[in-house]
Amino acid sequence: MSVQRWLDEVRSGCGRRRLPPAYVERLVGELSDHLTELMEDSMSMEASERPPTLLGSASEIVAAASSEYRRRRFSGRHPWLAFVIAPTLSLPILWAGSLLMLVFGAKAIGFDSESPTATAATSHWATEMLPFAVLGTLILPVAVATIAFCQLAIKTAVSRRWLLACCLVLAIIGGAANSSVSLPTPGTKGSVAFGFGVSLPPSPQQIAQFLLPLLLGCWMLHVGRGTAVSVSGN
Amino acid sequence: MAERKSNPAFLNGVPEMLILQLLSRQAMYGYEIVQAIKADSNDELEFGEGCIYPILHRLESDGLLTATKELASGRTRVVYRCTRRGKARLAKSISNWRRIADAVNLSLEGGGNVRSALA
Repeated sequence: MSVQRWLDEVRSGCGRRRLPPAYVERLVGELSDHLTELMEDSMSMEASERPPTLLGSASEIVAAASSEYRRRRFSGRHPWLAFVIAPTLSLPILWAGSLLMLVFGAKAIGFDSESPTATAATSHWATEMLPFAVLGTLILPVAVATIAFCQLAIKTAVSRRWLLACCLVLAIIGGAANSSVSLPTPGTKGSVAFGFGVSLPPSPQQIAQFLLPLLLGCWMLHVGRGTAVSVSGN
Repeated sequence: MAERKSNPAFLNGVPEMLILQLLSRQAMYGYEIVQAIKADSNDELEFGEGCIYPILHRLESDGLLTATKELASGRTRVVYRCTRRGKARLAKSISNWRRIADAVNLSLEGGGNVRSALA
C-alpha cells in the first residue's frame, strides 16, 4: 500500500469517527513526517511501500486516535455519567429554571393570581399567550438540553450510540412531562399545573415532546456526518 | 518481511510512562521517541509506531507535555517537552509501577515457595 493511500485511509477513518479536522491534519502530518524519517534512516523504499507494517494499520491508528481523543474529556472517559445520568438530572433543573422565569415574567407583565379580575382586564394579550408560554416552558428546556448534550457528544467524538442514548433519555423524560393551564376569568383564579405521566393514548403535545429530542439528535448526527464526509473528501 | 506485532503488554499507562520518562530527560520529536523506546528496551517493546502520536496529543492536551514546531536538520518538526505537571505525573506513575511490579514478583516468589513446600 502506498504512503498516500495509507494516509488517506487514516484521514477518512478519523473523519468517520468524527474527529476534528485540525486534529486529523496534525496527526496525518506527523505520521507523514515519521515515514519520511524512516525512509531516510533505512535508506530503502520499504517505508513508502508498506507503511502499515512499520507504523500500524490505518484502522489501528484510527482506533488509537479516537480512543485517545475521547480520553481528553471527562465526558469521553465517563460516557454513562455524561450521556445518561447528566441528562436525567439536568432536565428537571432546566424545567425548574424556566418555570421560575415564567412566574417572574408573568408577574412582571401584570399577572396577579390574587386579583384575577384586574389581571384579566389589564393583560388580555398576555392571558391569550399564557398556554403557549407554558408549553414553551416544557419544550424549550428539552430542546436546549438535547442540543447541548449532542454538541458535547460530537465534541468528544464518542460513539453515536451515546448520542442516541442521550436523546432517548431526554425523549422519555420530556415526553412524560405535561401541563395544564386554566385561564383566569372574572371571579375565578387561573391556574397552571405541571406534572409527569403519560395518558393513553398520549396527547399530541406529549408525542411532540417525545419526538423533539430524537429528531434534533438525528439532525445533529446528520450534520456531524456531513462534516466527516467533507474531511474524508479532502 | 514479517508483519510487526503489537505488544499487548504495551498498554494501559505504560506508553505514557515511557514517553514522560524520555521527555523528562530531553526534548524529542515523535520519531526520536519511538527509536529511543526501542533502543532502551532492546527491541522488546514493539508496537504500531503511529499509535504514539495520539498518545502524545492527549498528553499535550492534559498539560503534561508541550509541543512546539522547531527547525531541526533542515526540517520543521513537532518537538515535545515534559512540563512540571508531566514530571509529577511521571513520579506517580513510576511509584505505582514499582509497587505493582513488586507485588507481582512477591506473588510469583510466594507461588514457588508453596510448590516447594508441597513437594
